[in-house]
Amino acid sequence: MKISLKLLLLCITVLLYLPIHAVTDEKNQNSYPEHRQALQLINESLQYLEKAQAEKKTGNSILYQQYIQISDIKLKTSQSIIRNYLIKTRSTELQNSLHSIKSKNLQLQDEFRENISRLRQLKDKITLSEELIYNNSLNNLESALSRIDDAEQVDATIYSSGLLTQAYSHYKQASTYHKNGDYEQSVLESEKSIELAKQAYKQAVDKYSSNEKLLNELSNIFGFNSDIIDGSLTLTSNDIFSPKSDSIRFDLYPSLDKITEVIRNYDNLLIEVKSYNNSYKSSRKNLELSKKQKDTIIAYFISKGIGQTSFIENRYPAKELTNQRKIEIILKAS
Amino acid sequence: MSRLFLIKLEFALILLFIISVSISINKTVHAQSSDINNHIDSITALIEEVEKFNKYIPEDSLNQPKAFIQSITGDTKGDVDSELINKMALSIIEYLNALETEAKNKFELEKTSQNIIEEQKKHERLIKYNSEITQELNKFK
Repeated sequence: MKISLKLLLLCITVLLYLPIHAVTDEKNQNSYPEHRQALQLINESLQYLEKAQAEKKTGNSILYQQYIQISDIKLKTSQSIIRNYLIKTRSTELQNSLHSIKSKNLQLQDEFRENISRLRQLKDKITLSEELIYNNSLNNLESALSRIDDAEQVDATIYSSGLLTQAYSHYKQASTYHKNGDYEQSVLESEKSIELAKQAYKQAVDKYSSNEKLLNELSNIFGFNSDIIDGSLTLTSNDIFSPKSDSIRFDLYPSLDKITEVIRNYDNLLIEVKSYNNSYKSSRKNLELSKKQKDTIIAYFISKGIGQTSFIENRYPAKELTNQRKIEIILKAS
Repeated sequence: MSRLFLIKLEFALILLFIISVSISINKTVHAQSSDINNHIDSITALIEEVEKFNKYIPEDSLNQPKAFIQSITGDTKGDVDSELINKMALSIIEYLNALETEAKNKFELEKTSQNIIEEQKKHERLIKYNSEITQELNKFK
Protein backbone atom coordinates (compact mmCIF):
# COMPACT_ATOMS: atom_id res chain seq x y z
CA MET A 1 0.00 0.00 0.00
CA LYS A 2 2.87 2.31 0.90
CA ILE A 3 4.67 1.50 -2.38
CA SER A 4 1.53 2.20 -4.47
CA LEU A 5 1.17 5.61 -2.83
CA LYS A 6 4.78 6.45 -3.50
CA LEU A 7 4.41 5.48 -7.20
CA LEU A 8 1.28 7.56 -7.50
CA LEU A 9 3.04 10.59 -6.04
CA LEU A 10 5.97 10.08 -8.46
CA CYS A 11 3.62 9.89 -11.45
CA ILE A 12 1.85 13.10 -10.39
CA THR A 13 5.19 14.84 -9.97
CA VAL A 14 6.36 13.71 -13.48
CA LEU A 15 3.05 14.79 -15.05
CA LEU A 16 3.34 18.19 -13.38
CA TYR A 17 7.03 18.56 -14.30
CA LEU A 18 6.67 17.76 -18.03
CA PRO A 19 4.76 20.85 -19.23
CA ILE A 20 6.93 23.22 -17.14
CA HIS A 21 10.07 21.55 -18.54
CA ALA A 22 8.72 21.78 -22.10
CA VAL A 23 8.11 25.52 -21.76
CA THR A 24 11.55 26.28 -20.35
CA ASP A 25 13.24 24.09 -22.95
CA GLU A 26 11.37 25.76 -25.78
CA LYS A 27 12.83 29.12 -24.74
CA ASN A 28 16.40 27.86 -24.54
CA GLN A 29 16.24 25.75 -27.66
CA ASN A 30 15.68 28.84 -29.73
CA SER A 31 19.21 30.06 -28.99
CA TYR A 32 21.67 27.14 -29.25
CA PRO A 33 19.74 23.86 -29.64
CA GLU A 34 22.83 21.96 -30.80
CA HIS A 35 24.81 23.02 -27.75
CA ARG A 36 22.04 21.95 -25.39
CA GLN A 37 21.68 18.66 -27.20
CA ALA A 38 25.41 18.04 -27.12
CA LEU A 39 25.62 18.92 -23.42
CA GLN A 40 22.77 16.60 -22.65
CA LEU A 41 24.50 13.79 -24.52
CA ILE A 42 27.75 14.46 -22.69
CA ASN A 43 25.88 14.26 -19.40
CA GLU A 44 24.30 11.00 -20.44
CA SER A 45 27.71 9.74 -21.53
CA LEU A 46 29.11 10.58 -18.09
CA GLN A 47 26.20 8.87 -16.40
CA TYR A 48 26.87 5.69 -18.35
CA LEU A 49 30.53 5.99 -17.55
CA GLU A 50 29.67 6.14 -13.87
CA LYS A 51 27.42 3.09 -14.29
CA ALA A 52 30.29 1.31 -16.05
CA GLN A 53 32.64 2.16 -13.17
CA ALA A 54 30.08 0.76 -10.73
CA GLU A 55 29.72 -2.44 -12.74
CA LYS A 56 33.50 -2.74 -12.90
CA LYS A 57 33.63 -2.65 -9.13
CA THR A 58 31.03 -5.41 -8.89
CA GLY A 59 33.04 -7.43 -11.44
CA ASN A 60 30.31 -7.57 -14.13
CA SER A 61 32.55 -7.14 -17.13
CA ILE A 62 29.79 -7.62 -19.75
CA LEU A 63 27.65 -4.82 -18.36
CA TYR A 64 30.78 -2.73 -17.88
CA GLN A 65 31.59 -3.13 -21.59
CA GLN A 66 28.01 -2.32 -22.59
CA TYR A 67 27.89 0.83 -20.50
CA ILE A 68 31.28 1.92 -21.78
CA GLN A 69 30.07 1.46 -25.37
CA ILE A 70 26.89 3.43 -24.75
CA SER A 71 28.92 6.18 -23.05
CA ASP A 72 31.31 6.20 -26.01
CA ILE A 73 28.56 6.35 -28.62
CA LYS A 74 26.81 9.18 -26.74
CA LEU A 75 30.06 11.10 -26.64
CA LYS A 76 30.63 10.54 -30.37
CA THR A 77 27.08 11.66 -31.08
CA SER A 78 27.68 14.88 -29.15
CA GLN A 79 30.92 15.40 -31.10
CA SER A 80 29.09 14.91 -34.37
CA ILE A 81 26.42 17.40 -33.31
CA ILE A 82 29.06 19.99 -32.41
CA ARG A 83 30.88 19.39 -35.70
CA ASN A 84 27.58 19.71 -37.50
CA TYR A 85 26.96 23.00 -35.71
CA LEU A 86 30.33 24.29 -36.93
CA ILE A 87 29.58 23.05 -40.44
CA LYS A 88 26.21 24.78 -40.41
CA THR A 89 27.81 28.02 -39.18
CA ARG A 90 30.45 27.84 -41.89
CA SER A 91 27.80 26.88 -44.42
CA THR A 92 25.75 29.95 -43.51
CA GLU A 93 28.83 32.16 -43.99
CA LEU A 94 29.55 30.56 -47.34
CA GLN A 95 25.93 30.84 -48.42
CA ASN A 96 26.09 34.55 -47.62
CA SER A 97 29.32 34.88 -49.62
CA LEU A 98 27.79 32.94 -52.49
CA HIS A 99 24.71 35.13 -52.42
CA SER A 100 26.88 38.25 -52.40
CA ILE A 101 29.09 37.14 -55.31
CA LYS A 102 26.04 35.94 -57.27
CA SER A 103 24.36 39.30 -56.92
CA LYS A 104 27.60 41.02 -57.99
CA ASN A 105 27.81 38.69 -60.98
CA LEU A 106 24.23 39.47 -61.89
CA GLN A 107 25.07 43.17 -61.83
CA LEU A 108 28.14 42.55 -63.96
CA GLN A 109 26.10 40.44 -66.36
CA ASP A 110 23.55 43.22 -66.70
CA GLU A 111 26.35 45.72 -67.26
CA PHE A 112 27.93 43.39 -69.81
CA ARG A 113 24.63 42.92 -71.67
CA GLU A 114 24.06 46.66 -71.69
CA ASN A 115 27.55 47.30 -73.03
CA ILE A 116 27.13 44.61 -75.68
CA SER A 117 23.89 46.21 -76.73
CA ARG A 118 25.53 49.64 -76.92
CA LEU A 119 28.44 48.23 -78.90
CA ARG A 120 26.05 46.55 -81.34
CA GLN A 121 24.13 49.76 -81.79
CA LEU A 122 27.33 51.67 -82.42
CA LYS A 123 28.58 49.07 -84.87
CA ASP A 124 25.22 49.11 -86.65
CA LYS A 125 25.43 52.87 -86.89
CA ILE A 126 28.97 52.65 -88.22
CA THR A 127 27.93 50.03 -90.76
CA LEU A 128 25.05 52.24 -91.81
CA SER A 129 27.34 55.23 -91.96
CA GLU A 130 29.87 53.27 -94.02
CA GLU A 131 27.10 52.23 -96.38
CA LEU A 132 26.00 55.83 -96.67
CA ILE A 133 29.54 57.01 -97.35
CA TYR A 134 30.01 54.22 -99.88
CA ASN A 135 26.78 55.13 -101.66
CA ASN A 136 27.64 58.80 -101.42
CA SER A 137 31.04 58.13 -102.92
CA LEU A 138 29.53 56.09 -105.73
CA ASN A 139 26.87 58.69 -106.45
CA ASN A 140 29.43 61.47 -106.44
CA LEU A 141 31.61 59.58 -108.87
CA GLU A 142 28.67 59.10 -111.22
CA SER A 143 27.69 62.71 -110.79
CA ALA A 144 31.26 63.91 -111.50
CA LEU A 145 31.45 61.79 -114.65
CA SER A 146 28.07 63.08 -115.75
CA ARG A 147 29.18 66.70 -115.20
CA ILE A 148 32.37 66.09 -117.14
CA ASP A 149 30.31 64.61 -119.99
CA ASP A 150 28.04 67.65 -119.89
CA ALA A 151 31.05 69.95 -120.07
CA GLU A 152 32.50 67.97 -122.97
CA GLN A 153 29.16 68.27 -124.76
CA VAL A 154 29.54 72.06 -124.78
CA ASP A 155 33.15 71.83 -126.04
CA ALA A 156 34.71 72.48 -122.66
CA THR A 157 37.70 70.55 -124.00
CA ILE A 158 38.23 73.59 -126.24
CA TYR A 159 36.85 76.49 -124.25
CA SER A 160 37.95 75.51 -120.74
CA SER A 161 40.38 72.68 -121.19
CA GLY A 162 42.33 73.60 -118.04
CA LEU A 163 39.32 73.31 -115.78
CA LEU A 164 38.12 70.17 -117.50
CA THR A 165 41.55 68.55 -117.19
CA GLN A 166 41.57 69.36 -113.48
CA ALA A 167 38.04 68.02 -113.11
CA TYR A 168 39.01 64.80 -114.82
CA SER A 169 42.16 64.50 -112.73
CA HIS A 170 40.14 64.83 -109.51
CA TYR A 171 37.64 62.33 -110.86
CA LYS A 172 40.41 59.80 -111.48
CA GLN A 173 41.79 60.43 -108.02
CA ALA A 174 38.31 59.95 -106.51
CA SER A 175 37.90 56.75 -108.46
CA THR A 176 41.20 55.42 -107.11
CA TYR A 177 40.22 56.30 -103.53
CA HIS A 178 36.90 54.56 -104.02
CA LYS A 179 38.57 51.41 -105.29
CA ASN A 180 40.88 51.44 -102.27
CA GLY A 181 37.92 51.78 -99.91
CA ASP A 182 38.75 55.32 -98.80
CA TYR A 183 35.23 56.55 -99.47
CA GLU A 184 35.50 59.79 -97.50
CA GLN A 185 38.49 60.95 -99.52
CA SER A 186 36.78 59.77 -102.68
CA VAL A 187 33.76 61.94 -101.84
CA LEU A 188 36.01 64.97 -101.30
CA GLU A 189 37.82 64.45 -104.58
CA SER A 190 34.67 63.81 -106.58
CA GLU A 191 33.09 66.94 -105.08
CA LYS A 192 36.09 68.94 -106.32
CA SER A 193 35.71 67.26 -109.70
CA ILE A 194 32.00 68.14 -109.85
CA GLU A 195 32.71 71.76 -108.96
CA LEU A 196 35.45 72.06 -111.58
CA ALA A 197 33.31 70.35 -114.22
CA LYS A 198 30.51 72.79 -113.46
CA GLN A 199 32.89 75.70 -113.81
CA ALA A 200 34.24 74.23 -117.06
CA TYR A 201 30.71 73.83 -118.35
CA LYS A 202 29.79 77.40 -117.46
CA GLN A 203 32.99 78.78 -118.89
CA ALA A 204 32.54 76.81 -122.09
CA VAL A 205 28.97 77.97 -122.46
CA ASP A 206 30.01 81.58 -121.77
CA LYS A 207 32.88 81.46 -124.22
CA TYR A 208 30.77 79.76 -126.83
CA SER A 209 28.09 82.44 -126.46
CA SER A 210 30.71 85.13 -126.57
CA ASN A 211 32.22 83.63 -129.73
CA GLU A 212 28.79 83.33 -131.29
CA LYS A 213 28.16 86.96 -130.54
CA LEU A 214 31.54 87.95 -131.92
CA LEU A 215 30.92 85.86 -134.98
CA ASN A 216 27.63 87.66 -135.57
CA GLU A 217 29.27 91.03 -135.20
CA LEU A 218 32.28 90.22 -137.37
CA SER A 219 30.69 88.01 -139.99
CA ASN A 220 30.29 90.51 -142.80
CA ILE A 221 33.51 92.48 -142.74
CA PHE A 222 34.97 93.26 -146.08
CA GLY A 223 38.14 91.36 -146.96
CA PHE A 224 37.82 89.01 -143.97
CA ASN A 225 36.39 85.58 -143.49
CA SER A 226 35.31 84.82 -139.95
CA ASP A 227 35.02 81.44 -138.33
CA ILE A 228 35.36 79.78 -134.95
CA ILE A 229 38.41 77.55 -134.94
CA ASP A 230 39.48 75.69 -131.83
CA GLY A 231 37.19 77.79 -129.67
CA SER A 232 38.50 81.12 -130.89
CA LEU A 233 37.07 83.48 -133.40
CA THR A 234 39.47 83.64 -136.25
CA LEU A 235 39.39 86.40 -138.88
CA THR A 236 41.28 85.39 -141.97
CA SER A 237 42.28 87.70 -144.81
CA ASN A 238 44.46 87.36 -147.88
CA ASP A 239 44.09 90.95 -148.95
CA ILE A 240 45.31 93.22 -146.12
CA PHE A 241 48.78 93.36 -147.57
CA SER A 242 49.87 93.20 -151.16
CA PRO A 243 52.42 90.49 -151.85
CA LYS A 244 55.87 91.34 -150.42
CA SER A 245 54.43 94.50 -148.80
CA ASP A 246 54.02 95.42 -145.15
CA SER A 247 51.68 98.35 -145.80
CA ILE A 248 48.00 97.91 -145.16
CA ARG A 249 45.89 98.29 -148.24
CA PHE A 250 43.89 101.50 -147.98
CA ASP A 251 40.54 99.84 -148.80
CA LEU A 252 40.85 97.57 -145.83
CA TYR A 253 41.28 100.27 -143.18
CA PRO A 254 37.50 100.47 -142.66
CA SER A 255 37.45 96.75 -142.07
CA LEU A 256 40.22 97.02 -139.47
CA ASP A 257 38.41 99.95 -137.88
CA LYS A 258 35.24 97.89 -137.66
CA ILE A 259 37.19 95.06 -136.04
CA THR A 260 38.76 97.54 -133.60
CA GLU A 261 35.35 98.87 -132.70
CA VAL A 262 34.04 95.40 -131.90
CA ILE A 263 37.15 94.45 -129.92
CA ARG A 264 36.87 97.57 -127.77
CA ASN A 265 33.40 96.47 -126.66
CA TYR A 266 34.88 93.37 -125.04
CA ASP A 267 37.07 93.67 -121.98
CA ASN A 268 38.25 90.13 -121.81
CA LEU A 269 39.48 89.52 -125.34
CA LEU A 270 43.03 88.51 -126.09
CA ILE A 271 44.28 89.13 -129.60
CA GLU A 272 46.76 87.07 -131.50
CA VAL A 273 47.94 88.17 -134.92
CA LYS A 274 49.53 85.63 -137.22
CA SER A 275 51.01 86.47 -140.58
CA TYR A 276 51.85 83.79 -143.15
CA ASN A 277 54.01 84.49 -146.20
CA ASN A 278 55.37 82.49 -149.07
CA SER A 279 56.08 85.31 -151.54
CA TYR A 280 59.83 84.89 -151.26
CA LYS A 281 61.75 81.77 -151.95
CA SER A 282 63.75 82.42 -148.82
CA SER A 283 62.06 81.39 -145.64
CA ARG A 284 64.03 83.96 -143.69
CA LYS A 285 62.68 86.74 -145.89
CA ASN A 286 59.16 85.37 -145.59
CA LEU A 287 59.52 85.29 -141.80
CA GLU A 288 60.87 88.83 -141.72
CA LEU A 289 57.93 90.00 -143.82
CA SER A 290 55.49 88.10 -141.57
CA LYS A 291 56.90 89.83 -138.51
CA LYS A 292 56.67 93.25 -140.13
CA GLN A 293 53.10 92.65 -141.26
CA LYS A 294 52.10 91.43 -137.80
CA ASP A 295 53.74 94.44 -136.14
CA THR A 296 51.99 96.76 -138.57
CA ILE A 297 48.58 95.38 -137.72
CA ILE A 298 49.26 95.43 -133.95
CA ALA A 299 50.56 99.00 -134.20
CA TYR A 300 47.41 99.98 -136.03
CA PHE A 301 45.15 98.45 -133.39
CA ILE A 302 47.16 100.14 -130.60
CA SER A 303 46.88 103.45 -132.47
CA LYS A 304 43.13 102.93 -132.40
CA GLY A 305 43.05 102.58 -128.60
CA ILE A 306 43.47 98.87 -127.93
CA GLY A 307 45.79 98.20 -125.00
CA GLN A 308 49.16 96.63 -125.68
CA THR A 309 48.49 94.00 -123.01
CA SER A 310 45.62 92.59 -125.05
CA PHE A 311 48.05 91.12 -127.56
CA ILE A 312 49.54 87.72 -127.05
CA GLU A 313 52.49 86.38 -128.93
CA ASN A 314 53.23 82.78 -129.63
CA ARG A 315 56.17 81.27 -131.33
CA TYR A 316 55.34 79.18 -134.36
CA PRO A 317 57.59 76.95 -136.41
CA ALA A 318 59.00 78.79 -139.41
CA LYS A 319 57.65 76.16 -141.75
CA GLU A 320 54.09 76.82 -140.60
CA LEU A 321 54.26 80.53 -141.29
CA THR A 322 55.94 80.21 -144.69
CA ASN A 323 53.87 77.66 -146.52
CA GLN A 324 51.01 80.01 -147.46
CA ARG A 325 50.08 83.68 -147.57
CA LYS A 326 47.41 85.03 -145.25
CA ILE A 327 46.75 87.09 -142.13
CA GLU A 328 44.90 85.68 -139.14
CA ILE A 329 43.52 87.79 -136.32
CA ILE A 330 42.52 85.42 -133.55
CA LEU A 331 40.23 86.69 -130.78
CA LYS A 332 40.25 84.63 -127.62
CA ALA A 333 38.03 85.15 -124.63
CA SER A 334 40.28 85.16 -121.55
CA MET B 1 -20.38 -22.43 -0.85
CA SER B 2 -18.45 -25.48 0.08
CA ARG B 3 -14.83 -25.37 1.06
CA LEU B 4 -14.01 -27.58 -1.92
CA PHE B 5 -15.57 -25.07 -4.24
CA LEU B 6 -13.55 -22.29 -2.64
CA ILE B 7 -10.36 -24.34 -2.97
CA LYS B 8 -11.17 -25.00 -6.64
CA LEU B 9 -11.97 -21.35 -7.20
CA GLU B 10 -8.74 -20.30 -5.51
CA PHE B 11 -6.84 -22.81 -7.60
CA ALA B 12 -8.57 -21.60 -10.77
CA LEU B 13 -7.78 -17.98 -9.92
CA ILE B 14 -4.14 -18.81 -9.18
CA LEU B 15 -3.98 -20.71 -12.48
CA LEU B 16 -5.58 -17.81 -14.30
CA PHE B 17 -3.14 -15.40 -12.68
CA ILE B 18 -0.18 -17.61 -13.64
CA ILE B 19 -1.46 -17.86 -17.26
CA SER B 20 -1.99 -14.11 -17.53
CA VAL B 21 1.43 -13.39 -16.04
CA SER B 22 2.97 -15.85 -18.52
CA ILE B 23 1.17 -14.23 -21.43
CA SER B 24 2.24 -10.80 -20.21
CA ILE B 25 5.88 -11.88 -19.89
CA ASN B 26 5.75 -13.53 -23.29
CA LYS B 27 4.26 -10.44 -24.81
CA THR B 28 6.92 -8.23 -23.22
CA VAL B 29 9.73 -10.50 -24.38
CA HIS B 30 8.22 -10.69 -27.84
CA ALA B 31 7.75 -6.93 -27.92
CA GLN B 32 11.35 -6.39 -26.85
CA SER B 33 12.55 -8.81 -29.50
CA SER B 34 10.45 -7.07 -32.13
CA ASP B 35 11.81 -3.67 -31.03
CA ILE B 36 15.38 -4.91 -31.34
CA ASN B 37 14.70 -6.29 -34.80
CA ASN B 38 13.25 -2.97 -35.86
CA HIS B 39 16.30 -1.21 -34.45
CA ILE B 40 18.61 -3.54 -36.37
CA ASP B 41 16.77 -2.73 -39.59
CA SER B 42 16.92 0.98 -38.86
CA ILE B 43 20.62 0.86 -38.01
CA THR B 44 21.43 -1.19 -41.13
CA ALA B 45 19.51 1.25 -43.32
CA LEU B 46 21.20 4.23 -41.67
CA ILE B 47 24.66 2.70 -42.09
CA GLU B 48 23.95 2.20 -45.80
CA GLU B 49 22.76 5.79 -46.10
CA VAL B 50 25.75 7.22 -44.22
CA GLU B 51 28.18 5.12 -46.27
CA LYS B 52 27.01 6.97 -49.38
CA PHE B 53 28.63 10.07 -47.87
CA ASN B 54 31.66 8.15 -46.62
CA LYS B 55 34.16 10.86 -47.57
CA TYR B 56 32.32 13.43 -45.46
CA ILE B 57 32.46 11.59 -42.11
CA PRO B 58 35.43 10.81 -39.85
CA GLU B 59 37.31 7.64 -40.60
CA ASP B 60 36.15 4.52 -38.68
CA SER B 61 33.06 6.33 -37.46
CA LEU B 62 30.88 3.43 -38.61
CA ASN B 63 32.95 0.75 -36.90
CA GLN B 64 30.99 0.77 -33.67
CA PRO B 65 27.52 0.57 -35.26
CA LYS B 66 28.70 -2.23 -37.54
CA ALA B 67 30.23 -4.09 -34.59
CA PHE B 68 26.96 -3.68 -32.71
CA ILE B 69 24.96 -5.22 -35.55
CA GLN B 70 27.40 -8.11 -35.70
CA SER B 71 27.27 -8.70 -31.96
CA ILE B 72 23.50 -8.45 -31.80
CA THR B 73 23.01 -10.95 -34.59
CA GLY B 74 25.76 -13.20 -33.18
CA ASP B 75 25.86 -15.78 -30.37
CA THR B 76 26.52 -13.37 -27.53
CA LYS B 77 23.02 -11.94 -27.81
CA GLY B 78 21.68 -14.02 -24.98
CA ASP B 79 24.23 -12.82 -22.44
CA VAL B 80 23.11 -9.19 -22.49
CA ASP B 81 20.12 -7.48 -20.97
CA SER B 82 17.59 -6.73 -23.74
CA GLU B 83 16.69 -3.38 -22.21
CA LEU B 84 20.31 -2.40 -22.32
CA ILE B 85 20.56 -3.55 -25.95
CA ASN B 86 17.53 -1.44 -26.70
CA LYS B 87 19.16 1.60 -25.10
CA MET B 88 22.35 0.98 -26.99
CA ALA B 89 20.45 0.58 -30.27
CA LEU B 90 18.66 3.85 -29.68
CA SER B 91 21.96 5.57 -28.90
CA ILE B 92 23.46 4.21 -32.10
CA ILE B 93 20.44 5.32 -34.13
CA GLU B 94 20.79 8.78 -32.61
CA TYR B 95 24.52 8.73 -33.44
CA LEU B 96 23.90 7.60 -37.01
CA ASN B 97 21.25 10.24 -37.51
CA ALA B 98 23.72 12.87 -36.28
CA LEU B 99 26.39 11.47 -38.61
CA GLU B 100 24.01 11.46 -41.56
CA THR B 101 23.04 15.07 -40.91
CA GLU B 102 26.69 16.00 -40.52
CA ALA B 103 27.67 14.22 -43.74
CA LYS B 104 24.84 15.77 -45.75
CA ASN B 105 25.63 19.20 -44.41
CA LYS B 106 29.30 18.70 -45.18
CA PHE B 107 28.37 17.64 -48.69
CA GLU B 108 26.25 20.78 -49.06
CA LEU B 109 29.10 22.85 -47.64
CA GLU B 110 31.50 21.42 -50.19
CA LYS B 111 28.99 22.04 -52.95
CA THR B 112 28.60 25.63 -51.79
CA SER B 113 32.40 26.04 -51.70
CA GLN B 114 32.59 24.70 -55.22
CA ASN B 115 29.81 27.04 -56.32
CA ILE B 116 31.69 29.96 -54.78
CA ILE B 117 34.84 29.02 -56.70
CA GLU B 118 32.86 28.82 -59.93
CA GLU B 119 31.09 32.10 -59.24
CA GLN B 120 34.44 33.74 -58.47
CA LYS B 121 35.84 32.49 -61.76
CA LYS B 122 32.73 33.78 -63.48
CA HIS B 123 33.18 37.07 -61.64
CA GLU B 124 36.75 37.39 -62.91
CA ARG B 125 35.69 36.52 -66.43
CA LEU B 126 32.89 39.08 -66.34
CA ILE B 127 35.26 41.77 -65.05
CA LYS B 128 37.66 40.93 -67.87
CA TYR B 129 34.91 40.97 -70.51
CA ASN B 130 33.51 44.22 -69.17
CA SER B 131 36.95 45.79 -69.20
CA GLU B 132 37.49 44.68 -72.81
CA ILE B 133 34.12 45.89 -73.96
CA THR B 134 34.58 49.23 -72.16
CA GLN B 135 37.87 49.68 -74.01
CA GLU B 136 36.08 48.84 -77.24
CA LEU B 137 33.35 51.36 -76.47
CA ASN B 138 35.92 54.03 -75.60
CA LYS B 139 37.29 53.73 -79.13
CA PHE B 140 34.02 55.17 -80.42
CA LYS B 141 34.11 58.23 -78.14
